[in-house]
Amino acid sequence: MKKILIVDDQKEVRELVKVTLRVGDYEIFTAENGEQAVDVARQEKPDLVIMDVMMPGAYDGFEAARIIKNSPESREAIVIMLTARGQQTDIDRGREVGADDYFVKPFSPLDLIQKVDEVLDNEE
Amino acid sequence: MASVLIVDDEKGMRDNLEAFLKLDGHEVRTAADVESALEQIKGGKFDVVVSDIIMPRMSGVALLQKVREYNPNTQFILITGEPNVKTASEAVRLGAFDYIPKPVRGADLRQVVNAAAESVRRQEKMRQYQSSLEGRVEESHRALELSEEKLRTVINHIPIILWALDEEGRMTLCEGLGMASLGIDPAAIIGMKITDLYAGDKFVSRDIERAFAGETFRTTHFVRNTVLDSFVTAFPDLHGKVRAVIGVSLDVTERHRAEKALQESEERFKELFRSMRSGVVIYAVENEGKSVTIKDINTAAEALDRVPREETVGRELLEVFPCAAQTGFLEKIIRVWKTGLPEHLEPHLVETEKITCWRENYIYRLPSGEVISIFDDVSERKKFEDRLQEQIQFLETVLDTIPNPFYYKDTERRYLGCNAAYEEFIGKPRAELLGDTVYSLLPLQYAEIVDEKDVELLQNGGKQTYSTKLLRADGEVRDVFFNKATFSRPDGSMGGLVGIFRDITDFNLAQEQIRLQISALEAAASGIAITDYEGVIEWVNPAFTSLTGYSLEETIGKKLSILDSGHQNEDFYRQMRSCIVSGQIWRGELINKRKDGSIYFEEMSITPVYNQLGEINHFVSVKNDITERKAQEEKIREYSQDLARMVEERTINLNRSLKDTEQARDRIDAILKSVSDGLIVTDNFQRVIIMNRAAEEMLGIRFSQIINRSIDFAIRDMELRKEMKSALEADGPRHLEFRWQKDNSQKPMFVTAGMSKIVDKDGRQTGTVTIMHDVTHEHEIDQIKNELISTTAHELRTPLTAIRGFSELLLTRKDLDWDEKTQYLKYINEQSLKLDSVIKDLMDLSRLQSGEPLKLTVDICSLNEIVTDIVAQMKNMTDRHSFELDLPTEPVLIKVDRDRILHALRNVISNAIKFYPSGGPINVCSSFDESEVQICIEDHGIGMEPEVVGKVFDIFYKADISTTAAEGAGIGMSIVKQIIDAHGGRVLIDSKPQKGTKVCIRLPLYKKMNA
Repeated sequence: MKKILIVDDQKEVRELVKVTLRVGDYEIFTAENGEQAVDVARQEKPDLVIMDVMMPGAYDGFEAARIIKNSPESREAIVIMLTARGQQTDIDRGREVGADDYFVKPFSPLDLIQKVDEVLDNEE
Repeated sequence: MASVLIVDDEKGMRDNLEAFLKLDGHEVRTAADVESALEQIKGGKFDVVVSDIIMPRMSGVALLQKVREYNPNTQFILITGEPNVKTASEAVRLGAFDYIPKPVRGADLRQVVNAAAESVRRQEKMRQYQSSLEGRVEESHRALELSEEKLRTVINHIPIILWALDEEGRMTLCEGLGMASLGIDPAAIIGMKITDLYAGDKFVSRDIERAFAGETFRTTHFVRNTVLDSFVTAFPDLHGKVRAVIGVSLDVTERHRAEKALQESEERFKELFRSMRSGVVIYAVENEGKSVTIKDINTAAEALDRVPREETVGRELLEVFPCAAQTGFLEKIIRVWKTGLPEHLEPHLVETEKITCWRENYIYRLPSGEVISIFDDVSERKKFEDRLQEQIQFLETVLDTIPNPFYYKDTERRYLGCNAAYEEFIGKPRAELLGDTVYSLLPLQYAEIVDEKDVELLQNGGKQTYSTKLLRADGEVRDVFFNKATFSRPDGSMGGLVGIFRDITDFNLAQEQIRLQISALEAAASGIAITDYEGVIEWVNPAFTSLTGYSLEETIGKKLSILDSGHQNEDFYRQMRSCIVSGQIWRGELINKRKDGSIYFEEMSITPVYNQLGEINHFVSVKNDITERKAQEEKIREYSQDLARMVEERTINLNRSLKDTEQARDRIDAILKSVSDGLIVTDNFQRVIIMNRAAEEMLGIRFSQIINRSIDFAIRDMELRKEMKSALEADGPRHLEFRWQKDNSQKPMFVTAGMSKIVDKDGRQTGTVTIMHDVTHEHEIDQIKNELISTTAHELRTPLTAIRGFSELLLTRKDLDWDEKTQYLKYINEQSLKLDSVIKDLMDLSRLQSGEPLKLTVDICSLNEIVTDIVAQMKNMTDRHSFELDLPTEPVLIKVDRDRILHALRNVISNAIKFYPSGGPINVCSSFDESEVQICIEDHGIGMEPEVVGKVFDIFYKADISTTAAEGAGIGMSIVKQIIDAHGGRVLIDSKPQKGTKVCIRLPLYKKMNA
């Protein structure tokens, strides 16, 4: 069973993504800030991390993504950045920290499922 | 009384005999047989033994023999029963003393025993006597031997001579080590008469007489080179007649010599002491120096001190001469006495009652420990020395006063001395040059010249004069003129040389100059006449002669008035004269007459010449023929008049055109200056020919710096330069926007530049013109606009995410249960409200941006009610935070737009929630005072850095990446500020990173409810 880590400071969004992905055969973990994301990622070694870009706390989404991608325990994870901005600068920044893809808010849950399936199927 | 042993085997006999003998007091023992008798004899000595002849085992005779063995002195008495002669004679032959026949009569016994005892006694005595005699003889013998040995030792080791003379005076004995030193063989003189040996020495004969007279005496006499000290004694015989004379002599030659020498030395000393011309005084120092007494003084001392011996000898030095302490003399005496080292007291003044003089002392310590002072009156010497010193000083002063350098050397050309002027010239003090030659003073080439001359002078003697060059201390080479001479010593030998020189450099230079000047004057093209004060000519130059026709000889003694042509009047000459005698230079023109009568124009100057005292003693006239020049001057005057006329006409025209041009230029300048855009004009070669103020500002470079230089110097931006260059080629104008940073410290500015060609009236390109427009502000505005749009999009997208997402789920998914569906609808509702709130903020913001003030609908409201209301609303927004309310008990009224205030509070609390992600209590408290109410909302979240706090209200402030906020932080607080400001209140923020934020809103109090 694939593990997915959802990171967003808003509980509505976390729940939205969680419910959206419920149809798939995934084990879902959540985190509400960058620090937590890093800890959970290291511990649970998710196959996929969906990371919100803008979060308060010690690390924002980019920073957390970078750390996850650089830590030996979690670097295997695929990281998709979730952003409400979608400007070129964000996309570039994402690439810089090693994120594999990005997704723009607001999104269609159906699109999200498709994306996740794609990404995790590719991995196989 | 003796000790007797009775030996008889008959007891009765024994007893009888014992009884008889005891009557005489003898000590009696008895023995029964021979064995026990021997036992007893062994044990002790018996004088007499009385024994029976016939005894068992051993006869008395045998006993006798035995006893003899033991003690031969014991007298034996035999008692015989048979009185026969044979036995008796046998007994006596054997050594018995006597025999007694039996029956023994007591009286006989006693008699015989007594006789025997007596005999024993006598024998004993005799033996003792003999032994003592022998002993004495032995002793004497030994003593004699010892004496002889001693004598021998003495004779053999001590250099004495032992001799003896018989009554004839003949040498009978002459022995001893001393003979060796005499070098006389004793054997040779034995038997000779002493008087013969000492023939002629009447002292010896006299001594012999004395000796034979029985005297014992000591005498000294000479043998060859030896001095003998002799002890002579007479040797009388038993009758007292002197039969011999014995003497012991010791070689005392050395001692004698020494004594004599000492004596002589003492004599000499005494003589010296007496006769010396210097005063000699001997002192005895005692008591560690506390007492210094005069032991002796010589005649000279008496005379010098004028104090007789009697008054000085034996007395304390200080008593007689109290001044000895001040002069240091006493001190020296004591020191010499202590150290033994001689001292010298320099000539010093001595003043006593009797004398006043200068004295010099030499003080020594004698071997005896006494201190001797030898002194002289050096008053005369002192006087001479002083006088000499005076003369030397005087001489030195004189020499130093002489301004010419002076020195003197010895025959080896070493400096003996010099004066101050020489010291100055060579730059060394005289002490340094004494003993050195000139080679240590001057460089080789100069020293050699000097030394050569010195050697010549010393060889030839006499005097020497010459000029040469010398190197002065300051490095300058000077011409000098030498005067040297040799001097001789008192004994007539050459002592050395003296030299004195004059520095003639200046003189030579002056000479040179004069020569030069004279040549110049001679060669001068102008006529020159030198006159005295009265104007009488002393000298004229050749040019003068060519000018005037008068030769040198013809002019000397005459005045310049010989040239007078009559064209100048008296006043003219009077003025000239008064000018020059007052010391001024006169210049002017004259018309003069030559010797041949011809007239000419002359330009003349007269210069006064001063002597050393400052008086005018000569005048120098310089004359030039200006006849030609005069003619030419006239012609020039005509021409210049015409020229002046023409120039005037032209100038008027030129001025007119110039004025027009200036006006045009000023106009252009004004335009260029006022234009706020930068303007650069270049020619076809891209050289900058015009640049205005604004361009200077923009580029940060002055026109004066780059005028006529290539544009490359002015424009650093590659692109712009490229564009400008391509504008030259292009047909139409070109545009470019570029970012320009004038210098690193400033903000970059944004500039648009438009370039186009300039063509002249014939259509030929003459250059380019570039106009630069500062669009920085517009750029900023654009940026802000972009930011705003971006932010807005973000603010709106965030609630939309939930709305879109959940609505799609609700529509498409079949797996949702009732609770989930309700929850999701709730989310959609909430987020749409949120969306509405955000849009409201944006609307307000946009209105505020365009300057519209916030429209308030105010009403009187209760503070507590508003606070409670908003908290109730916000509670639902979070499940992680709790709200702690702290409201005043006294109700308070405020006049506010309720909706707006709620909106503001909502924004603040929303931020508190968002920036407190860990969750916890949020404190909401309100309070009031006389004029204001305050509502504070405090979270314990992530807080803000101090720099951030200040910017929170900035409309487009987005917190930096490290504290990236959730949605709404961008504009929420700005709205709050606008709302509160509009109410006449203020917002205060207190925040600490990691600790939390406290936002306090203050509003004017309307009324207290209970008031």
